[in-house]
This record gives sequence, structure tokens and C-alpha cells, in this order.
Amino acid sequence: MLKQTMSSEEPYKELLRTIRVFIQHYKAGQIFAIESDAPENFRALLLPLKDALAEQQAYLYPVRFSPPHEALPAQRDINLTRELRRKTDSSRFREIEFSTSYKQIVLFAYGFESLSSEQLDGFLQASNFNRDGLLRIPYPLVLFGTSDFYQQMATKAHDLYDWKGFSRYFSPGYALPKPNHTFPYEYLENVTLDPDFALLEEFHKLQRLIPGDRLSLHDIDKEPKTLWEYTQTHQKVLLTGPIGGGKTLQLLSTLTEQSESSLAAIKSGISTGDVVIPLYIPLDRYKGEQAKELIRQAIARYQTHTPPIEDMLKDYRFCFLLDGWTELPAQVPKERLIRAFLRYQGTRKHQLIISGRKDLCPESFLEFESFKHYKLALFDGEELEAFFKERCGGGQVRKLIQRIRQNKMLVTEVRAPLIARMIAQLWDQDKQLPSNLAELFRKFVTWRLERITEEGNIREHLMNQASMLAFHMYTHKMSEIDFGKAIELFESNRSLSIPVLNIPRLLMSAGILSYTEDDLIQPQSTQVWAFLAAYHAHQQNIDLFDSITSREDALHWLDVLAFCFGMNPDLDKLNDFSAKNAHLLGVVFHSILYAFGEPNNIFGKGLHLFGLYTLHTDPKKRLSLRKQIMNLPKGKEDPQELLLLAGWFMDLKEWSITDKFAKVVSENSDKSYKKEAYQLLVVSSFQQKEYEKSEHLLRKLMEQEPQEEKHRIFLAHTLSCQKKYAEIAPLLEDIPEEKQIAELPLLVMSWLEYKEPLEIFEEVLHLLYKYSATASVWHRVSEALYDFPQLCIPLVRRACRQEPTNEKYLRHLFFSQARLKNSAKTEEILSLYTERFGDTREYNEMLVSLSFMQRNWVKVIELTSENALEGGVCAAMWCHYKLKNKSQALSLASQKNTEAIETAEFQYNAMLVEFMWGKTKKGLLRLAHCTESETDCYFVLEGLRLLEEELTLHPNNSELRLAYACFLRKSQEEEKAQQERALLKKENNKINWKIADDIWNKIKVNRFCQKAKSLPPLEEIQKIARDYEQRFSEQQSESESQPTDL
Amino acid sequence: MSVPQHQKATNLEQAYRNLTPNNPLENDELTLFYQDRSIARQILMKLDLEMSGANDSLPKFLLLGHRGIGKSTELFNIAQQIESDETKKEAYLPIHYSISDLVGAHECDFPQLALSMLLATYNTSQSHGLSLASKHLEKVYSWLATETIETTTSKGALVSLGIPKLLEFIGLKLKAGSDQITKTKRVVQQKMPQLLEILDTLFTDISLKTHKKPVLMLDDIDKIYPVNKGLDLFKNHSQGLAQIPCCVIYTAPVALMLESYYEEILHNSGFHEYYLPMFRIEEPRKLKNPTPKPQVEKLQELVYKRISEDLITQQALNEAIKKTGGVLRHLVKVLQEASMAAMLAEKEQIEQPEVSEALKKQRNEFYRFLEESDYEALLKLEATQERTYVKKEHLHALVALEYSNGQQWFDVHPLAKDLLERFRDSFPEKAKKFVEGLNSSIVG
Repeated sequence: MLKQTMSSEEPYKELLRTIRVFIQHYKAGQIFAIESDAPENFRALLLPLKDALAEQQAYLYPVRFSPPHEALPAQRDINLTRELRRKTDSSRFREIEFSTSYKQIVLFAYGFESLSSEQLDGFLQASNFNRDGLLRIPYPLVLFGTSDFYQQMATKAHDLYDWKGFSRYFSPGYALPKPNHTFPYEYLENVTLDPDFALLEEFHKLQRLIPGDRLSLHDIDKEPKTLWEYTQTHQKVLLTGPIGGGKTLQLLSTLTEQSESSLAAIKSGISTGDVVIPLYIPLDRYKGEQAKELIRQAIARYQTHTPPIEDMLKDYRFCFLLDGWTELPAQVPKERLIRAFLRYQGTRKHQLIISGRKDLCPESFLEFESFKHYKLALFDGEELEAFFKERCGGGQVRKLIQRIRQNKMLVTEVRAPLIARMIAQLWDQDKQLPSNLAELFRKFVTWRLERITEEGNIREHLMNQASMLAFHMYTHKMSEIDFGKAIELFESNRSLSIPVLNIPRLLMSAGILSYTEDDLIQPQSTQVWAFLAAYHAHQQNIDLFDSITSREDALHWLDVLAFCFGMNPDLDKLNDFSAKNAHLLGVVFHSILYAFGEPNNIFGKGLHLFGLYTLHTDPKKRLSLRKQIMNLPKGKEDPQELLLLAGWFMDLKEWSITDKFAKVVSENSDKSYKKEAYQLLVVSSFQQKEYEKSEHLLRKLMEQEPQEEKHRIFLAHTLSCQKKYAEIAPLLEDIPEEKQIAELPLLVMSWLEYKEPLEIFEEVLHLLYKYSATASVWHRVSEALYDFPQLCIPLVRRACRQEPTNEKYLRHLFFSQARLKNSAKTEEILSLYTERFGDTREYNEMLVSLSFMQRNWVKVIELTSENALEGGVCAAMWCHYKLKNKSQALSLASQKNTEAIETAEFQYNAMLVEFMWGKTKKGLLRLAHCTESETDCYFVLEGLRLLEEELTLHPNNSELRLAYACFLRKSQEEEKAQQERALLKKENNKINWKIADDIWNKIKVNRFCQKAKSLPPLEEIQKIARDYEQRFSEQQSESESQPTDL
Repeated sequence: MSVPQHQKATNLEQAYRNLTPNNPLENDELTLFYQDRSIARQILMKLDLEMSGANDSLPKFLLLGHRGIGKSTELFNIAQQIESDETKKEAYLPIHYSISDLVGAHECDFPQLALSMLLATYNTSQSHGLSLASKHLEKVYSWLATETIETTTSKGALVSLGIPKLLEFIGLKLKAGSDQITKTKRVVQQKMPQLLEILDTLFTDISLKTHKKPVLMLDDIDKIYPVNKGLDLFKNHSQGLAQIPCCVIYTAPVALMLESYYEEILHNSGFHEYYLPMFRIEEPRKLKNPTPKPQVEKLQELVYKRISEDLITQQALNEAIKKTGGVLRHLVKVLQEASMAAMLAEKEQIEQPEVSEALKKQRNEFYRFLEESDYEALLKLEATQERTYVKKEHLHALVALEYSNGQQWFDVHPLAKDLLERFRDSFPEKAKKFVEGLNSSIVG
């Protein structure tokens, strides 16, 4: 064998120099072949070569060739070109290429000796006829093989042999230990040789961990540690950090550091069973595999032959590094996965470290499992300066830092390593700073595309194609896509004549796409992918908010929404969305803030807290957040922002927060903002049932804008809630008739105060027909006339005819007829009801009512006992009372554990029963305040008699006096009752007037009852209604198609 | 990783970059470094004659030559000449492609070759913005889609792609060397007559739309692996190749010329043979006729197109030319290596020691794959310079070389001769026995 040896004195130096020259002047497709006697000799060369190359800013990227492992996705064949393309298309490789300060990457291929003779034949044959492909791999290639390997190449792949150029002989001059293929030796060694860790060196020293919520205090004061250092003392760790915060980096550095440490320990004689073996398990493509399968794959990446996993779990100590657990979509059983790892962790003291985003982490789960929590700290000012100095050189750094500080949008974002790195790269290019994160990503992607083509229109086309694909994959929740499908999409989106099949290749060269191990297409970076999806939505004017209807959707689109917002900060859109989806908005805001860094103004902080508030369900956490939120506004903030925040909190029904924000604006801002603030305060006080406050504010608003209809209508509602019906009509009568229709029920209530019911009825009919009111309005007006069943019936009938499928309307008709005690008609409606809607729960209630009306007490008891209706106990008790079943009635009255106990009706009846048979004073008093059953004169007279007796004993007892007044009202001695009440009110303020007032309102009901009795019979009223109908149908030639069977 | 501006090298770094043995010349390299060997001109002239004739024939050309002799460069040159000459540009549409780029070179056979023509034609039409008659393409689509695409996620997606994309996709699959090949080949084999008809329609379609005659240029047929597969293509399918309804330039392995059926192929199929000869550095020992002078000057000229004369001593260059036997690739490779050695030695020009060192490396490359049986054959060849002792694989590996100056002769690569010399020194008896009885001037 003839060998070219280097000068014997300096074998390394000469070889390294030659390689350097090769790299400096290399052209695509060239190979630098190194030949050595033993396969293990590469170890002696690797480190000096790496250092030598680093001097000329080149990174040595070792590519290990090994037999295909059964635990990894099947490969069709192993050949040089294919394997190198796969490696160079991978995301890590692109990261090193694009994100580090290295100017060049040199591939170092080795390990061919581990292939079996058959595999090597296949490898050489396939590499031989694919050799032209090497021309398309634009990285210098150093090939390290044994003499035997080259001999095989010479005879079996002559063209490749000729192609590779002259080989150089290398001997370290001493014998290296033979390769040890046993586990964990081979595994640990290959991990330490993995080239994917170039980024670690640049960032590792700058990255710090800060303790999370549950770290003991003494740790806080210590020097910053790496995750690996923390893992030495903790068995279960949760590592959280923002996007681009370096979580993966920390896990990978733990993988290498632990591997190096364990390898050294084994070499020093420590048993392999006692060292910790780190396994990096990325979950970005997790589809529900068993934990064991994940372990097997993690080992197979670095180990030729894997022993049975069960044995390994028993024999070795592992440290499982699960990357991206929290980001797993909801459909995969992520908690089950963690539990499986926890089981291993528990049995053999394996370590479990998981990384993820804090906001997506089910806290209760981790709390329960007692994970130690560490957060990644962002760069502080000094660190950032140090980083930029090292990365961009001294001269311009001051200017850059200054620009960053001036830029509000970036000042916090830049503290994340990923973003800092991107900014450094872009600054290197054109000394410009992007205005925000979306702009940064846009520039970053453009810059990457510029590296592959100088033609602007092609770049634009590629950007459009990539963003279209990203959006499609986001929409269909795909993490990877079939090649054919991607081509089909590119074809459909084509606008330039570049062949569509070139697009994936170009996007791969730009580091935007890559192939998966089973040849599917996947994005290189999830952040860039989210940006591209947002870019597509922005370009195509797609409203993402429209497609978000669930929390799951919101979580899915988080990052895309954040970028959309960055591209077009449309606050109005957010506002609209909040009105519809307050519960989702928090998720969205949180994402925006999460992606855009920690906010430094009130609006940002407000949004952030709002987001957190909607995300958290823990009452303690919410309370603490609430305090923080309440303390936010100080009065000097932008009123518009405060009002937006107030509006969002109002959507969450957080009235006090809304009040606080709106109040600050109303006190500190000019007229236009003050008005908006008042409006918010009105809504808030109304919702909190503070009607007087609401009325007061509305009147203030109306002073400024007397003609504003919106305010009038709102005030009408407020007055209605306060039962100030008389004041409503003057407010609403000024507004145009067509607008009155919607508020007609309010007007009716008001008119009842001073107009005759029949007169109102006719006026209402006129308006309803004239403006072709909807069934809903007919129904609502009929409800306003509740106390006049004769008037109700024609109105609700009309609603039923307009909308026969509405069950509520028919039920209303039934009860209106029931109030008229029209048994035959009621039965008829009930039968129609069953025909239309079947045997519903409401049907049973109606049946009970009918039986009540027919005084069929036995039937009622039977119905209620069979169906256990809500309120059934009450009805049964009443029936027993009527049937004079004293013991049953009292027994039911004493029930405390039924749903019925909560209803006023039950309480009244129970008291009545207790009062009648027990004659208790308590029963008497409570009976006085009850609003039900006004008509049973016996109880009223009996009540009055008893109260008079009591009052002679206790004349100044205000409770008794109020009860007496109530009984007076019940006995329809209204004037006397009012006098008594007025007197009482004057004397005593301690009485619960709210209840008393409610009772008093019933006086009006009594008055209405009288009026109702004086109305003409139903037939006549129906005739009036028919006349109106006819008149209007003639006018409008409107034909009624519905049958008049009601 | 930026591409350097091509220019004649005036320093060793540039020399290193300009001396690339594996890449055919194209674009500006072709303009700067190309050494006219008249083959391209001859082919284009013949093409003009044939195409303008009344018989309206569709000529087929065979471009033969050793590996690395410059066949691909000649094809690039033909394409460039068509593009740069207005008359030719109006007359021809070059469809130039490498079969290894389109369908892969592993065990490529006639159906695969025919399919590659379809793909290349489609690609070219696409880049010229032509839409081809779709109903014929749909036919191919239906065979391939139903027979060759597995029921996977691809199927659904691809079915909706339509024929052009499907063809491209199949091309990719074929190139990737998947098991798709067998199925596709089987289908295309069955449908060959129809496929030829479709090709005919496509070429007619292109002619009608562009008013140009398509000229197919199939590169890298000589790279089909194993070598016998490439030869079989001509042996078994010469009629098929001749019937392709278009003007075609096929590159062919030099070993084809040694085959007994070669003459018959030429005769029956009407191929126009163009041989790109090895540069002659010596005369044959047995001169039948007076021959032109060796082409050492041509090689010097070729080197000086790439690097300045100051960068290499005359002596060193002559040594390199002489010892690389006229194999252009070896000459370039040796000079590239020598330029690196000179750089490392911090010299400003390449001198004899660097060239010698590089030649030694090339010799060692030969050494590795020569076995005893190879020595026997090569010793016989060296002794006789006769075709009888030429092995196909020796021709392929460039240890046996064919020269031509109107008559053909063969010889052993000069560097391999050094190895034969050493073999003779080490095993004199054996070497003697190998060449016993041969009528040679150097034996004994």
C-alpha cells in the first residue's frame, strides 16, 4: 500500500494547513479525503481541526454515518449525497449557518466503518451514481475513512473514487482506544460529538436562570447557574421561558454537559450504572407514541445497537429532557405521557426535566407532582451590550444599543436571545433596526431569501408561497405536509414561471423549510412559520378573529395573531372581537404580549394582566391579579387606552375594575373621553343593579345631549328597573314611532300608569300592525300586559301564529288562558302543545297547573310525586293542605333539603301551612311579607286578627306594624295601608325597605286586577284585534298562511 | 461561499479555483476557458444540413469519448452556440439535460430514458411558457397515476395535480432511487409505442408553437451504472433510440466502440458518430500512415486559458501533460493539486516538485484498484497497443486509453505504466509470462 504521509514532525500542522487552503478556495462538489489506518483516529483529528477552522471563522460539522436503526424512521438507502443533504437541510444546521458568527460550515463525514459489508456496498453504489448531487451541496466536505474504505471505493465506486480527489494520509502517531460500541459509552461519546451545538457556545455564558415560584430563598442570592447545574440537585424540573428565550438551548446544553461529565466519570472508573445518562426528547412532532418508544428513538440517534428498554430503565440512571411539552396540542394525551415518565422517575430515580411556556402549563398538574420550577431570565442591559459587542463588533454597538433603547416596541423584546440574535444579524447587514417584532421577522425572512436569489420578484414569490403554505398548515393544524400536497398548493398559488418543484428546494436553502426523517416537509422554525402564516393573513386581508371561536382555536393561533397584530395593530378589531369573545380575548392578548415582550406602558401591562386574568381560574391568583389591575390607572395615562381596557373588563363582567378605569378617565380627561367613560359607568352600574346611580349618570349625559335617543332609551330601562313607570313614556314618546316599536313593552308599562288598558291595547295593536312587528315584540308586549290576560291572549296568539315553532309563546298563551280559568281552552292548547313539542318538562308543569285549576288535588299529588318536579313538593304540600292531610302537609313543609325550599312559593306555602296549623308568630310575620296568593281572604283576615292582637301587646314593634300594613294591603284597604307604611317609613329606617317596597308594588297589581275584571270579555277583545288585523292586512295585502286554530 | 468572478488566474489561489476537474464548463467559464475542438461545430453543421434537406430527416448523433474528456462541455457549447447565433436560435429549440438529473443514472434503461425525454420536454416547454396539448399528457398521467403511485397520502394530492406535476414528481421519485422505478419502468415498457406517439405529438406541438425544431441533448448516458446497462441501451434499443421523433444528440460511453455490435448499430440505426478523442501526447509505436503531430501544444493552450503562463514552469507543465496521457480531467486534477502544494510551500508558481508529487498521488489512485489480472491485461496492452487486450472497465477507469489520429490505437495510462514498471521489477517472471508470445517491440 502506498501512502502519502505528512512530514513526520508536524503531521497535524501540515494537514490542517492543507485543509484550510482547501476550504478557502473550495468549489461546490469538491471533497477533501483523509485516509487513516484505524476508524477511531478521527478523534485525534477532530478537536485540532475544529480549532484550526474556528480561527478562520469556519465551523466543523461532523456527520456520523451509521447503519439505519430500527427505532428510527426507515431510510430508503444511505448515500453520501442524500445524507449530507438531509443534514444540511435540517433546522439546526440552518440555525448554525444563519444565526452564528461563523462564516462557513465544513462537513466532516466519518463512521463508514460501522456499516456492514452489504451496507457499505449499497452505500458506495448509491453514492457513486448520486455523486453529481454533491455539486449542489455548497459546503466543503472532508471525508474521513480507513484505507480499507477507500480501497472498497476504488473497486466498487470508481467514479466517486476519481471524483473525490487525492486523499491525504493521517496518523495521530499513537494508538487510540478502539471504539467501544456498548451502551452507554457509544451513546455518550456520539452525543458529545454532535455538531448541532454550535449555538450553545455563543449564548450559553449569557443565559441565566432565575428561580421560579417555588424555589427556596437561599438559592436566589447565588450566582447564575445553568440548568445542568440545577439538575444536579433536583429530580423533577420545569423550565419555562418566553419564545426564543433559549429553553431548547438549555436542554441541549444539559444533554452535552451531562454527557461529557458522565463520559469522564466512566473513563475514571465509575460504574456505568451510577452515571446519569441524559436523553433529549423533542416533542415537536409527538403524535402519541409510548414513552418507551420515545426513549428508544432518543437512544437510537446516537447508539448503533440499543439494548431492550426495560433492561436499560432498570440498569441505568437517565435524565429525560422533554422539550416543548406544554405546547403539545390538546388532542394528544400529554398528561399521560408525563405520568409515564414520572413512573420511571419514581422507580429508579431517573430525572425528569420538561421545558415549555409557563402560560400553557397546567399548573395544578405540576404543582401536584411537585416540580421545581425555573424561569429563564432575559438578558439585562449589560449582558445585552456584551452580547452585541461580541457579535457585531465594537464600533457600531453604542449606536445600536441607543437605537434599541429609543424603540419602544423592541426595547423589551430584544432581551430574548433569539430576537437579539436576529437583530444582530440584520444590523450586520444594513445597520437598520426594525420597528417591531413582525417587522423584524419580515426582514429576517427577506434576508434569508436574499441569500438564495438576487431577484426581487422571485423573493417575493417565494415569500408568498411559503406564507401561503404556512397559513394552510396552520389552518389544518398540520406540523408537516406531504411533498405532493405542498407542490399542489404551490401550483395553485403560482404567479411566476419558476418550476414549482424548485420551490421546496429554494425554501430549504433559505432555511425556511426542511425535510422530516420520513421525507415530509416541515417548517424549520415555528416562530418564522407563525410569522409567515400571519404574513399571508395580512396580505390576503384574512380576518383571523373570525375563525376563532374556542379557547383551543385561540391557543392554536396565538403566535400568528401576535404577528398579525404586529403587522397591523388594529385596536378597533380587537375591540370588536372582545365584544363577542371576551373569554378568548385574554388568550389572544396574552399571546400578543407574550410575543412582544413584557410591556412597559399601562396599556401593555393592562392587556397583559387582562390576558392572565382570563387565563387563570385559581381564585387566589385571580384575586392577586385583580389587585394589580385595580392599582394600574393613576390618572395620567392615555384615556383612550384606559377606556379600551375598561371595555374589555366590562365584557368579562368585572364591574368594579370597569368602574375604576372609567372613573379615572371621567375625572381626568376632556369632554369626549368623559362621555365614553360615563357610558361605561352607566352600563356598569346598571349591570350591578345600581339603578339610581345609572339614572343619575344618564341624566347628566342627557343634559349635555338632550336629543340623544340612545341615552333616553337606556334611561327608560333604568327607570323601569326602578319601577318608575310613569316617567318612561315622556322619555320615549319623543322618539320616532318606528323606533318606539322595540321599546313598546316599556311604553305599555308606563302607559298603564295613566291610560286605560283597552285604550293602550288598541294603540299597541295599531303600532304593531303598522310596523309589522316581529313575533318577539308581540310576545314582549303581551308580557307587559301580563295582568290583563284578556289583552294578553290576542297578542300572544299573534306571536304564536307568526312563529309556531316557538314553544315559549304557546306556553305563555296556555298560562294566559289558565289565568282566565278557561279550562276547555287551556286543555285545547295543552293538546296542541304536546302535538307540537311532545312530552317536555314544561308540558308536565302545564299539566300540573291545569290540574290545579281544575282543583284536582289528587292528580296534582300524583303528577308531582311521579315526576319529582321542581316546586313539586310545594304543589303537593298545598294539595295535601287542601285535602286536609295535615300530617303530610306539615311533613312536606318541614322538608329542608329539596330544591323547592329555595323558591318563594314554597316558603310562603310552608309558612301558610305552619301558620294555619301551628299558628306560629314567625309564620305570621313571614306570611305578611310574602307576595304570593293574594286572594285567600281567610288567611288575610286571620292574619289581621292575629296582628291586631300582637300590636296591642307590642304597639311600637315596627316589624309587626309593617306586617300589619301588608295585611291591610292584602285585604285591599290600600289607602290605610299606604298611610301606615308612610308613617312607618318616617319613623324607622332599620326596616328592610327594599323588600317592603317590593311588596308595596303589589298594590299596583291589585289595582290592575280590578281593572282587568272590568275589561270586556275575551271574545270582544279578540274581535277588536281581528278588526285591526283585517284593516292592516287589507292595507298591506298581507295574507296569513298559518291556521287560526288557537 | 460566494462564487468568485471567473477570470484567467494570475495567482495560485485563482489557479486552484479555475482548475476544477469535476465540473463541465458552462456559462462564463465556457466562454473563458473553452478550447475549441471543432466537434460542436461539426455537429451543428451536420444538423443544419440534415434538417434543411428535402427528406426532412430527424438526425441522431452519437457523441462518444472517454470519461472526463469534455463531452458535457461540448453539449453546453452546442446549446450556447444555438443561443448566440440568431439563425440557429430561430431554427432550433435545444432541450439539454442530464439523465442523472432527471431520472437518475442507476440501471437506467430505455423506458426510463424515454420518460426522461418526456420530462425534459415538459420542463423546457414550461420554462418557455408553452402549454402543451394536454390530452396526450393525460394519457401518460392515467397510466402512471394508477399504476405507480402507492396508495399513500401522495396519491390523493398528486391525482389532483395533473400530468405535468405528476411527471415531475415521478421524475423526482425515480431520481431518488426508490422502488417506484420498477413499477414505472414496467408501465412505460408496456406503453412504449404509445409513449413514442405522445413524444411525437409533443415535438410537433412545440414545433408548431415555436416554429423551431426541438433538439434533444442527452448528457451523462455514459454515467449509467453499471457500465453494461448503458451499453445494453444501445445494444438492445438502438432502433428505439433511432425512432425517437426528434433530432437527438446522445452521449455514449467510449466502451461502446469496442463492442462487436457497434458497427451494426451505426449501420442499421443511421447514427452520426462523433468521437471526442483523447489528446495525443505520443505517437503510436506502429505507424501505418504519417500522422499529425501530438497535441501537447493544444493541452498547453488549454491550461493557459485557465491560468497565466507565469504560474507554472514549462517543464512542470510538460511533465504534467506527458504523465496524464491526454486525460484532461487528470491533467486538471494534477495541476489543481500542484497549485495547492505550491501555495502551501508559499511559492508563486507551480514547479516540477509539486507536479511530481501530484502525479505520484494520481498514480497511487490507480494502484489501489489494480489486481493481478489487471496487470496481466495492461501489460499485454502496453506491449501491443491492440484493442484485443483492452478491458471495458479499464477504459472506464481511464487506465487504458484510446487515441485516434485517423487510425485508432490504445495504450496504458502513463502513470499506470509506472505501476507496470514496478510490477515488472517486483515480479519479473510473472510479468514475462504474461506477455510471452506477444508480438511487441518492447517485450524482451
